[in-house]
Parts: sequence; structure tokens; C-alpha cells
Amino acid sequence: MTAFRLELRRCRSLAIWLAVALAAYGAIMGVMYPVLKSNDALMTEYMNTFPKEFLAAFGMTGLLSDPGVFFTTYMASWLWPIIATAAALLLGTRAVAADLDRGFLDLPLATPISRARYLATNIAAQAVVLALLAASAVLGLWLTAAATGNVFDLGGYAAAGVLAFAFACAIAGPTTLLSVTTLSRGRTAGIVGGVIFGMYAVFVVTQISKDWAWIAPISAWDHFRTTALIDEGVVPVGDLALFAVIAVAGWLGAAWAFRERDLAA
Amino acid sequence: MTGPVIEAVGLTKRYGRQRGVDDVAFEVVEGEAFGFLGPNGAGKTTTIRLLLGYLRASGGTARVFGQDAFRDAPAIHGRVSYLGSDPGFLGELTGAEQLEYLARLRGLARRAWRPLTERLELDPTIRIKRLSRGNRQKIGVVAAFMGHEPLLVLDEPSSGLDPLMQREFLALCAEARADGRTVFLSSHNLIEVERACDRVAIIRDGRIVEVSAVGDLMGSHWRSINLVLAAPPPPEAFELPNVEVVAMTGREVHLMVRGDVNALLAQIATHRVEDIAITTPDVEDLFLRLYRDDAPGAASRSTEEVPA
Repeated sequence: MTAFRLELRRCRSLAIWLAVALAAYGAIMGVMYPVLKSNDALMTEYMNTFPKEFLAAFGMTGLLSDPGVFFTTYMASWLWPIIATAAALLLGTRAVAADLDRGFLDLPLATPISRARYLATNIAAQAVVLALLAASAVLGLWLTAAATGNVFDLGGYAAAGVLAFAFACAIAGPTTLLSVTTLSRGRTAGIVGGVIFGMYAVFVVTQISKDWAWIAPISAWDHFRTTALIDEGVVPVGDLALFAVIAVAGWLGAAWAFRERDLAA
Repeated sequence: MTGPVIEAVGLTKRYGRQRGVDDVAFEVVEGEAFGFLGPNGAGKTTTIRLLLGYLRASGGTARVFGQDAFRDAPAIHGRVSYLGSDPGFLGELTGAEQLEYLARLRGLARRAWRPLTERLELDPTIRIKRLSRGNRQKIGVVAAFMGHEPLLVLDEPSSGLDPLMQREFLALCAEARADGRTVFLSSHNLIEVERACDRVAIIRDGRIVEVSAVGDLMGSHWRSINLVLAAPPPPEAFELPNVEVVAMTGREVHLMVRGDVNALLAQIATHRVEDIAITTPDVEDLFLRLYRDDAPGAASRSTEEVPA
């Protein structure tokens, strides 16, 4: 618990500031929702001037006033992936790559705590922070919308929060593994950032051109479909399981690699 | 504990084509203070990281308390207190928070660090990022000595400490030994090792070049002789077996002699001597000599001055 408490403490500033940013942005969007809703026809007419495929690339697959489309367009399709990637990189690379570089890692590892157990405390802290951020992303928007008289289905939004959490964990797991194998924060950030950007580009391309649709499943965005989840109640069990498997495999792989590898700064 | 506390046999570490350490072998027995001397880059820290299980050996074995240093690291760490050369304490914590964190991970009592922070005049309430290098090093010294683990592994522990605190550090080492604890002290501070240790291993270019009692290394092997003669001697005057001419400047001659001194004394007697001083070389003389043995131009060292 000592190591876990320190991990949480070290995450505190990052977690608070990112959570506040997400909640504040969600609140602004929530305040805007009544305006969007009252101008639904006008908005729809305007949106129809764009190709459907183009709109789909940015998550707009229905009326903007639909709670699911609204959440996907303004939160899930861009801000959440950015925040989740940033948090996963900062948290997933800290315990090994960054702390080895700054000379801190030697201190806890000179105590009877095993390497795997030490890394597990960091992974647990990652999960706690990512859960907090996912909750902030959902609640900031939901609560403000509710305060303006637009009560969205809480179950749908909660499920979207769980999917957003799983999405973030699926980035954090492999990030932690890369951090342990490369022992470099910079290299890890470069690889993860490149892959995430690449997956987003693949998703956009596959939405615009159906000729490329077959490649869509390699993109995380293809499995992060919050619109259907909120508006139609379709729980993406397979996508959730896929994210969970990637996250757990990354974290377990990181723990194994950390136990076996040399620690030379 | 019947066997050695630390046992390195043929210990080798390579980083690809780069050398780490090669065929390192030594033993540290219970209750002794063992010095580990070498210049920067000689392989001291690599050896310590192998002993603590941070690195996996490319060859040979490292055993601590009879257990494999890499595989059994957590069990070994329960009996080891370690202080690295440049511990990366967390700047956002106070000294007290950092020490309490380490104390808890080591299963020590709450505030086990308190007596030592008072003794070393360290204010534990200040955030570490606001501390000087010397005060940060004090936190490391407190962390190393606040427990009662039977083995202390100290990697250049007194760098950054002022002379008073270095003396306090040596006193802590002596107290640890009096408690029956074993001390493994890596340093390039020769005086520190001379004062704190019983035996010393000297490492150069990743290889152990000598393991000996500190007293043997400094005393029985070599004598330093400073002569002032009435007239400058011929250059070849002291070219004798076991004699090394360290410096010859006019009438002043600095010699090092090992083993039988009679031939040298006979040679000295052929000159008119105005002054003579025969001393035990300090460990620094010894260290420099050992390090120069294979250096390019070693044959011409008779014209070089060896700092005392």
C-alpha cells in the first residue's frame, strides 16, 4: 500500500488538471446542447451540405442533438483520445523509463518489494487515474446537460464511460510494455503517438472511402463506437473485451519484461 | 551465516560489444568492511548493480547471503541497505516523506529516520528540490543507516558531504561494524576506504587487479623514500631490482621500494645523504602506481612527479 499511495500522490496533479479540463470542456458543451437542440433543423440542413462519409469520419452519424452523436462528436472522437493518450504516456512511462532515468527506481527496488509487485502498484494507479478521467469526461457533460433540463440516459452515458476507460487502458497497457522494453520515455511516446495517429488516419480514410473499409478493424476508433451504445443501447461486448485483452496483455507483458530485464540507465 | 556474505565468482557483464566487468571475483565475509576502489568507469557501479540484482550477469555468479543476486533479489534486499552514488530522490517530497516511504517499504518502524536526521543536522521538513547536493546526500546517508540490515552496500556515499559530515559518515560506518554489520564500500576516495575498511579490492578496466588487506597494500609491500643528497646522483644510480624512481630533481630523489631494502640501502650509502625520510606510502601513491602499471609511457614515469 505504501508504494501505491505514493504512486497515487505522484499522479495527483496530472489527474486533477486533466479531469478539470475534461469536465470543464464537457460542461461548456453541455451548456451549448440546448442551443443545438433548439436549432436542430437548421443544423441538420447545414450538416447535409457535407458528404455523409466526411461527417462519419468525425463521428457525426446522425442528428447532432442525439445524445450519442453529441457525445461522440464533441468528446469521444477527439478530446478523449488525446487526453487518454497523453495520460497513458505520462503514467505508463513514469514508473520504469522515467524513474530509472532520474535515478529514483533504484530506491524502491533496493527494498524487499519485487519488481512485478512494484510495477503492479503503478499499473493500479494508472487504472485509477484513467477511470477518474473517463468519469470526468462523461459526468461534466451529463451533469451540465441535466442542469439545463436535458437529462440524457445515465445508463448509456455510464456505459460510454466504461468503454472510454477501456479504450484508455488499451493505450496504457502497451505503453507500459514499451516503456519497460525500451527504457526510454521519448521512444515510447514516439511509437505510441505514431500508432495512435496512424489508427486515427486509418479510421478517417476508411469512413471516407469504402474501398478501404476492410482495414478499419485495425483502428481503435472502429471499436470505440459510443453513438450506438448511447442512442441504441447496443453494448459492444466484443470491443470492450478487445480493449481489455490488449490492456491486460500489455500490462502483464510489462510485468514479465520488467522482472527479467537489466536495469541500466 | 557460515559462508561469505558476498561472493562473486567469474562475474562478467557485457553490454553488446562494450565491456562492463570481466571475470570479477572476490568474497566479503560477515562483519568486515570491504572497500571497492577504482576510478570512474572502472566497473564499480556495474559490479554493485550485479550484486543487487539490477543487472543480470553475462557470465559467472554473484551470490549475496548465499542466494542468487538476480533471481532472489527481493529476499536479499530484505537484508541489505543500499545507498547509490546519486540517488534520485523525488523533489516534490520532503526529506521526511521520502525517508518514511523508504522506511515503510523496508518494514522499519515509523520515524526510524528521526535520530539520524537530528545527528546529521538535516531538516526533514524541507522539500528535496530545495536542498543542496550535500543535504540530499545526507538524506541518502540517513536512508542507508536508519535500518538494521546486516549488509550495507554504499556506492560513493560521501560525495558531496562536507569534511565534518564525512567524518560523521565514517563514524556511522564504524558503529555499523561494531554492531556486527558487514559494509561494502565502493569509492574513489582513497582516504575514506583507508579509514573505513579492512580489506580492499581494486578494479581497473572492469577487472579486479588486487584484493588485499588495506594494511598490507599500504604497509608491507611498499615504502616511500625521500632523499636529499649532497650532490645530484647519476641518472642510473638507483636502477635496482624492486626499486622505482618516482622523481629525481637535482639533489632530491623520491623512490619507492618493495621487499628487501638492503641493496638500496647499500646504494644510498655510496652517496653523502643530507636528509632521508622513509614513510609508508598512502593509499593514493599506491593507487596511482597500480593504475600506471600498464599505461602508455609507464617506463618514463621516473621523471614524473607522483603526488603524495
